[in-house]
Amino acid sequence: MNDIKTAVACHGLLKNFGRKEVLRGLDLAAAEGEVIGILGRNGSGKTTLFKVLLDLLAPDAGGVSVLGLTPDGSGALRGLIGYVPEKPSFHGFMTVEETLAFRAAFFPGWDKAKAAQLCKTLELDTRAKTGTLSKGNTAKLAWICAAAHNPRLLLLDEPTSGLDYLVRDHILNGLVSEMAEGGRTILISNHRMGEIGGLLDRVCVLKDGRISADHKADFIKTETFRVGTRQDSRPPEQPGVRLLSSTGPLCELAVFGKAKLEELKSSGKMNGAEIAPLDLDSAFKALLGE
Amino acid sequence: MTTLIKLQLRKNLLTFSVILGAVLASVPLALAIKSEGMPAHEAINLAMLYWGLAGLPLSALILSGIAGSEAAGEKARDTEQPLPVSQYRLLLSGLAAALLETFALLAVIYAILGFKLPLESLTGAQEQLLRFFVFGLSCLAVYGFTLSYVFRNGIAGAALAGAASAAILIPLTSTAIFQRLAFKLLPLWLINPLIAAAALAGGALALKLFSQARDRRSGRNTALLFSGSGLLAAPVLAAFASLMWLNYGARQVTMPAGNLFFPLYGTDSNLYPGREKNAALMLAQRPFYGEVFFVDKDGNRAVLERGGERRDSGFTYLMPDLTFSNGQSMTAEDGKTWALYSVGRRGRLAHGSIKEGFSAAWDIPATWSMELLGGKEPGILDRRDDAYYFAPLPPGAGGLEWKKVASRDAGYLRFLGEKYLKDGLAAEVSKDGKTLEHKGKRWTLPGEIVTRAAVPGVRLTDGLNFLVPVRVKDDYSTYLCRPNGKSEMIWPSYFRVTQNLTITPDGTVWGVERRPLPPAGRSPNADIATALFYLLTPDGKAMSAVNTDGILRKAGITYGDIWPLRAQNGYLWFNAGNKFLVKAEAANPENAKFWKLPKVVRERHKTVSPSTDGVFIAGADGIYFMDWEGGSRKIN
Repeated sequence: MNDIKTAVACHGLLKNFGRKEVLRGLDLAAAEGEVIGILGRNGSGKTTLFKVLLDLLAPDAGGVSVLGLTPDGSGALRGLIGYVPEKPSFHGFMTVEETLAFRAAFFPGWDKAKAAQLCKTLELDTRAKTGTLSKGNTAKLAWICAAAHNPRLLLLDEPTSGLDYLVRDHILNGLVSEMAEGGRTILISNHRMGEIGGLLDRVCVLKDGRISADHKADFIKTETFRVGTRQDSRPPEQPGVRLLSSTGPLCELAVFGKAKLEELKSSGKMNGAEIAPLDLDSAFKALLGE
Repeated sequence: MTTLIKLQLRKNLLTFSVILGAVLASVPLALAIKSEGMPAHEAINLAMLYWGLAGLPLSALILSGIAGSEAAGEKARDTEQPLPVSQYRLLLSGLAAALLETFALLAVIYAILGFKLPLESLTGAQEQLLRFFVFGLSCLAVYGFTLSYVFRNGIAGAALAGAASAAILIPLTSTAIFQRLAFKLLPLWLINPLIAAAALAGGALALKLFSQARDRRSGRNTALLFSGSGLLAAPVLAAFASLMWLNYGARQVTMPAGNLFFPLYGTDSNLYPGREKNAALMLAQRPFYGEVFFVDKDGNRAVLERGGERRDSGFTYLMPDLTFSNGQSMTAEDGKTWALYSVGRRGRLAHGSIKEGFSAAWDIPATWSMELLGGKEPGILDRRDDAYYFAPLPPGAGGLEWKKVASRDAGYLRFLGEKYLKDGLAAEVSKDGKTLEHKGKRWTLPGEIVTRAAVPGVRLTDGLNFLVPVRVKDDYSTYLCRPNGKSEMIWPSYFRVTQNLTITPDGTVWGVERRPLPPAGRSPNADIATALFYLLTPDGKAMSAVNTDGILRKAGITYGDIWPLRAQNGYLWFNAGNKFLVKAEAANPENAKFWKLPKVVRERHKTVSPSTDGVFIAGADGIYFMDWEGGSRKIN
């Protein structure tokens, strides 16, 4: 375990915007090569966390280390990070080609051939003005900009938001998989975590400005269960058990962990319950409420 | 940084192009609407003058305002901030682009003007405005960008930047113009560059603090915003502080209320036997406060005009209000002094003493053409358009009683001569110019006396003496006619008509010959002059061609600025360039002591004014009195 280097480390991270507390003592660590899904509801602080990691926002308190560097406002850190924002933005008067050339001037590790190849793979017209690009093509360009300098860390903030299925597939099963397999650290926040569930090593739930739950992806895949039971035999609210739905005398629960399931079974309250593996989307939904 | 600046220039291209197009279009437009008879280049110059005075500053505000507000916008934040450069660097590139565009427009305007200013000669104020023009444009751009960024609004930022820049430039310009017109009261060579640097560097530094507060949302937002605002406000405060300092300094300026010019024919500096030795007084003024007063060597004051903050014009803060006073005074044997002076446009005649005050005062329409005359019948001589008038002192119950005494054609010298003779203090020259006669005494000179006018006497320890210029063959020399009836040549090959000799308060008579120094061993600058003095001490000892070159050299004075103040017991005292009081051996003037005088406000007549006991010095911060052994004290 000691051989694994830490790519991202946050301790007691605090960030307020006026009186609004967005990050309230957040602790997070990501090892090199790890792919972590950050799960959180709107306004839970995901984008703020990414901006702190990108050295765009200064934390009010707490410690941050990214790839061994401490954010200092110089922007140097961003040279090592590939960032795909939720709403990518480019200078509309530039063509795709000009945009890539402009970016290349700032990233020493920029790989022009790779950028060109990605344009080709993603079918992006390099002569088009970025101001005329569709949302999908803008997202493609953002992905190319994030990947072309071979970053050691990828921060993906709702990277598939608004994209159609084919583009999402292109990006997730092509680009992200490739980068993940290349040993890069990836922090990804996505409302549709289910579609990337196969890529993740770990899922962290961001709630009330803190990491409220931290699970290995395998755990989510193999040890979450849907339990259908009667209301009168429903176990009380407790850690590892979430109510999914309730209809008349019946209800559905999400149970996290085989041990918890066995515990509930042995309590005798779930006699006759239907137990099945929980699909990823439902598991993540349940996690949000955990 | 270059890539970023190129980006910012490209972003502003449309705005810049529109303004540039307007500049270029104004050339044919000016030609189209010019009046008949106006040369084409004048019409273009006028158009460019508009651009220089109004269009370009406005353009600087527009360009920087748009760039600043754009830099604070979401688009720039989302598009540029993910780049691996600091947010401050991004802002600086925006500011640099705005500055470059502003100065590109200036270069275009200057090129249209043919790389020369349309003004043939600049007034002092124009010169100062021009000096601040480039700084002003920079200031507008820096403040425009920074404030538009802070308020995320180009119009609000530009308006505030215009106000802030005006608040810096108006006092700076005002201070510079005033100092150029009047006195070097402030070290503006240091202050102005400091304020300019504080405005430009402070504006850029404030941008950094605002960036930390706005972009990085640092937890110290209040402190950062406060500090940034302080940096922006500091040059404004410094400029106004500089102006306040100037105002304060100007109100402290004290100088003699002497004549602007040397008196034409009076008692002040001319040789005149009726002139009683003036009491050790200085008629002084604080011209930017309007105060006129007498002060004696012990610092006792008698105020003639009180002055005040509000005088002729109400608002004097930006340019200290000058109420200048010209005056002269004459003290009689009873110790009472007459003062004739003007304050602004008003003239006043006052009578009194320091001890008892100056209560009696008469209003006089104008004093600049008047002169106090002493003697048995003291009075005021006035040169008017039609004739010379004389009014005896003290005035009658109805005020001054003027009497015509000479036509303008006849001149005043005849009247003066008659007055001198009537007072028994002048001698007459015979018609053939061979002899001089006074009260039955007759002196026969070896040659022709050059003047035929009455010769005023000089009162020395042995009585009334007369100095006359005499021509012997082709040589002109000065002879002294002594009370014992004898005459002797005292100043060979040197003479001045008597009225052009000067008498110091202790009674030493002197004349001077100033001539360029030979270049050998010195700079060949022809302005450099030496001064040779011809002196007659109160005890009747004459000295010829006393060379003060050594004193000038030691004092570091190159223009012959040296004046005798006193002669006593084998020593001579000089004022060397208003910088040193010098006590020199009469026999060997190089053997001298130097005492540094306080810094004077400006070299003017009577700035260093001798009395019997020492010299009054109108220093930059008040009046000093220095005795003959260099003991100095501030008396006002």
